[in-house]
Amino acid sequence: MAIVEVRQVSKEFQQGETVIPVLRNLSFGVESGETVAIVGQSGSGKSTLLSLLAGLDQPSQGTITVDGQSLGQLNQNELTRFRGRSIGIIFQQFHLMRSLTALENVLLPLDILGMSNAEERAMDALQLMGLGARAKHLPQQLSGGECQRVAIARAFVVEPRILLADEPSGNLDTATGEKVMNLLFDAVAQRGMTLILVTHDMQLASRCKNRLPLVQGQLQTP
Amino acid sequence: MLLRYAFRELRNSPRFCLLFCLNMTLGLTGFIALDAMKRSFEDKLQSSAKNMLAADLSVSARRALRPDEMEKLNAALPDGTRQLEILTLYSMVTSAKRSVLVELKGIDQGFPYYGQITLEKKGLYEGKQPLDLVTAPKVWVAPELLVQLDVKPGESVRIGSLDFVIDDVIQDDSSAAMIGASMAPRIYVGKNTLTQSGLIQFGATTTHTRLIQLPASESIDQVEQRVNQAIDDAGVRVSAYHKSGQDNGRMLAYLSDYLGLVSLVALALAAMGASYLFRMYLDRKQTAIATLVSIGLTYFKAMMLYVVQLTLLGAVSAVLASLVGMLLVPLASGLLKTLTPVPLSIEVGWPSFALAFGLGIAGSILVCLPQLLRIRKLNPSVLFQEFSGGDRLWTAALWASYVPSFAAFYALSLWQAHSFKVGTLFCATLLGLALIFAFIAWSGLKFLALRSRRGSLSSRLAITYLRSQQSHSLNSFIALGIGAALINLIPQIQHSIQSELQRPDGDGLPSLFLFDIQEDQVETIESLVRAESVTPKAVAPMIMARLSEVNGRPWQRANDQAVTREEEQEQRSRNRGVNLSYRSTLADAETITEGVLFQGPYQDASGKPGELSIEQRYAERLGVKLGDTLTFDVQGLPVSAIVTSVRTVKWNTFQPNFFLVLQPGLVDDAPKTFLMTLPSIEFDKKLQLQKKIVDTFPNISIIDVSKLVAKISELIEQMSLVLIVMGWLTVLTGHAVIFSIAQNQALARRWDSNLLKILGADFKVILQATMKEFGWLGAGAAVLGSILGLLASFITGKVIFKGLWQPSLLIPVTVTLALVAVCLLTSYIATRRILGEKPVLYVED
Repeated sequence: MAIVEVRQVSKEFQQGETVIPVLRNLSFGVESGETVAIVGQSGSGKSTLLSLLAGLDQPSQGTITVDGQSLGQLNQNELTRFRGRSIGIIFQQFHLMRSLTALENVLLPLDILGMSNAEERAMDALQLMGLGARAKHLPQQLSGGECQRVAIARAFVVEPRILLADEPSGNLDTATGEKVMNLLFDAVAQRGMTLILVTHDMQLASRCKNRLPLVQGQLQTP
Repeated sequence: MLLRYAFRELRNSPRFCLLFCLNMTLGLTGFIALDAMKRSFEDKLQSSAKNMLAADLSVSARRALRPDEMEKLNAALPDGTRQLEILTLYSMVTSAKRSVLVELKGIDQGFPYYGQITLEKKGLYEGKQPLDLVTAPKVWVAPELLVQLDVKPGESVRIGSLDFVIDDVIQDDSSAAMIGASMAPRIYVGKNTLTQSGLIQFGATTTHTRLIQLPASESIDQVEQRVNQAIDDAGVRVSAYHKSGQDNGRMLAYLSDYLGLVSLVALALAAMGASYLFRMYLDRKQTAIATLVSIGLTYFKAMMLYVVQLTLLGAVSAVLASLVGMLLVPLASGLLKTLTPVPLSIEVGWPSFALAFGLGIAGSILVCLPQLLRIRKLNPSVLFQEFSGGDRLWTAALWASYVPSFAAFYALSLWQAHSFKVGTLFCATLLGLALIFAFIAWSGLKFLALRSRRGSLSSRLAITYLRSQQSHSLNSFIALGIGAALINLIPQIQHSIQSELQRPDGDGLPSLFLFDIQEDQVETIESLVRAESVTPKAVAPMIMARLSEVNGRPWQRANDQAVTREEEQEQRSRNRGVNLSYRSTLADAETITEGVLFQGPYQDASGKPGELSIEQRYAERLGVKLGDTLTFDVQGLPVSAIVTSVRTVKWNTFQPNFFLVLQPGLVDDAPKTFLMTLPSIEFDKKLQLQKKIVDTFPNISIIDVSKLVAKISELIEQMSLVLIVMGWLTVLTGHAVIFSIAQNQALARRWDSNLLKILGADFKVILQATMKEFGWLGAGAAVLGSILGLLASFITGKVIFKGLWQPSLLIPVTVTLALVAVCLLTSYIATRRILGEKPVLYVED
């Protein structure tokens, strides 16, 4: 059974009196444990689609079901709790808390969900990313690759069923990007998580089992 | 968890914390120092009120109680009560060389029931000790009288028709109320010998006070109520010691009302600055909040994270404000020493601390509520955008979120002013000022838009900055402008009052004011002064009476507890005897505002009631209007008159002015005394004339008007000084807002500034642009604030002080120059470091 189901989803933005369609009538499903790359040019609507899948924004039309739960039926608080529990997100700009150390950044979602053995689990996640020695460092003391690895550790530390990644190597150089992506794919495989990533990097997309090409807000049939 | 993260966030934002706390601390400091002062004053007053009254309860009137009233009084008092009568009056005392106006206190065995008098020779005197003063004509005098009369202990002074030996000198007196504000130094004399001196005659302004000591088990309030009910004459005043204490502190209470309002301006500006800073802070935290929400933190908890931060900052500000308050209050003690009836040692106590915490925390949260609510509107999808713009969605809920802080401010204003009218007027004025400043600033920005392509690069940049950051420009302009208006207003009013006091109508103040002149002495005294080539300025009869009915209904004394200052004033107006006068023409100081003055002398045969002219504010307090009939009890005889005119009076002319003036012919035969003023006379001649009058008529009392004016001027100066100090605190708070804005703007423009540098712009050009931006803001706000301050002083002078307005141009010019200079310096300090950084293009998340 599909863990993510997108049915006839459209998204429009209003700018003054002009309505700008970003996504048009999308429908697709992602199976549990599958890795999927949403690919497309800048402005094709990839990030918008990802924010809809994360429940960070609502579609103008259509429904999105994640792990059997229709996101449209949840209120803001329920959605937030559901996301915290079931979805991990990795951002292109990392979005780490500047005032917290690497370890504390990874601890954050565990604290929010009130999970037990939080510190131990966070440390394990960091070590898995090869950052055990950098646990006490602040984000500004880390390199871009290290920051992204902290962000990945933060995303999977609560062991969500789905991982969403927005251009996860977009802010990294090729070598670092490849190294970080290896760690990401290894972690996903080890935990049997579902990964949906957005990228315009075809090499990265090729590492995923499925690819969904997005052109001007519409999925292209391969 | 929230506390931990809140603390971490704050620790990582030291500049925000510092500026936020600076704003709130400055805003709270004046308020807390003032609260500490009020509380210390009230505590001290309450603890010494019994000593000041020297009894539990007093019953006083400007006449001795009648036998029937004495009977009623005794019946209302419980068994075991002790009572004695004392007499108080102002009179002249003469030595061989000089004559001086003194406050005579005729006391009896047993005085004081509470407290003590410390005498130079005899030491401590308490009521239970035998009182020498009743055995022979002896007096205890205030130390300054030895100098003023040029006498020594053991020598004699003349009071009325008797010579009294100076038995001792008063070093300390627990019943001495209004130390600095007392009209004359005090002399204690035996009541019996004072009566023998011949001064206690008809018409003399003697107060007869029965001091009452109740058994310890009695409720003073209940007895006070019973006595009030038993004696229903409004001219008889019944006071429990704690209420009497409040009366003594009235002057400081009024001053603290206005100080409270000025301190609220500082608080409002601080709140504005804090709200601005928090908005900027949250703008920077938008990504962090979105991240937290994206990983599972609910919006409510995200909001609470910042509520906790505001709570921490509010608490720190409260502690800092209390500490600064502690440093300031000794200064306040010194400034207020002549305005308080008791020596004051001010300290910031726990209630003031609690208030500081309450205001610091609740105030911080309330003023930032609109920003906090914006968290709920934050869309976490901003995380997928490279640059996130601020969400400026204005909804009804967001507008409504401003209501609690405005409501709280209004409530604080009412609390501070103790007056619905003054509190409302204050809030409306402040809001009006803010709107005027906002409108003018907005128009100014529109005007600048037309000039945006002209002038030097730094000018164009300054215009661009001002226009592109409208809300910052408006905030700065309002904060500084209100401060400027305030510090202009207070000295302008002070200047007007003092100028008016020094030359009221061009022909100068009277030099001497004579009172207690008996009817048969008027002609002789006129001849006496004319023989010295002095022509009396004014002679006016004064008839003591009691208001008994208004429109046929008995006039009741107000016994309820007054809540507002207006109620207090109304009660005081109701609960006192009245002085009537009569004359056919208006005095120079009077203007009719309603009705017409008397239609000739009263005709007894006409059968119509007489006519009455009433002073406007007195009429308002009594609730009397044109056409009402007032009935007075004049020495037991009822006299009715219809209000046919309402007058305004310029009291500062120091002429014999009256609240109630009757038509001539109506009460001319009633027993009366006369008041007389003498024109300006040179100093030596004045002293000689004063001595001659008192030697001839020992019962006549004389006030040296120039001394009184000097004393009033000193009081006004003291009050103005305290208000100005508070006004400057407001300006300082305004500058903290400016500094905060300048700092934030410099940070926000880091990118622009560095880009300009990379493009070849000189560091000086960028600094000049910032200096011009804040210099223009400061100059504009200072000029407009000065104009509005001047306008407000004009309105205050014309409306409240009835035409009193003597503007000083020096004040606005000085204030404007000082504010512009401080504004330039503030912006320079705030931006120099950041603008001086190396041109690196920062990438901030």
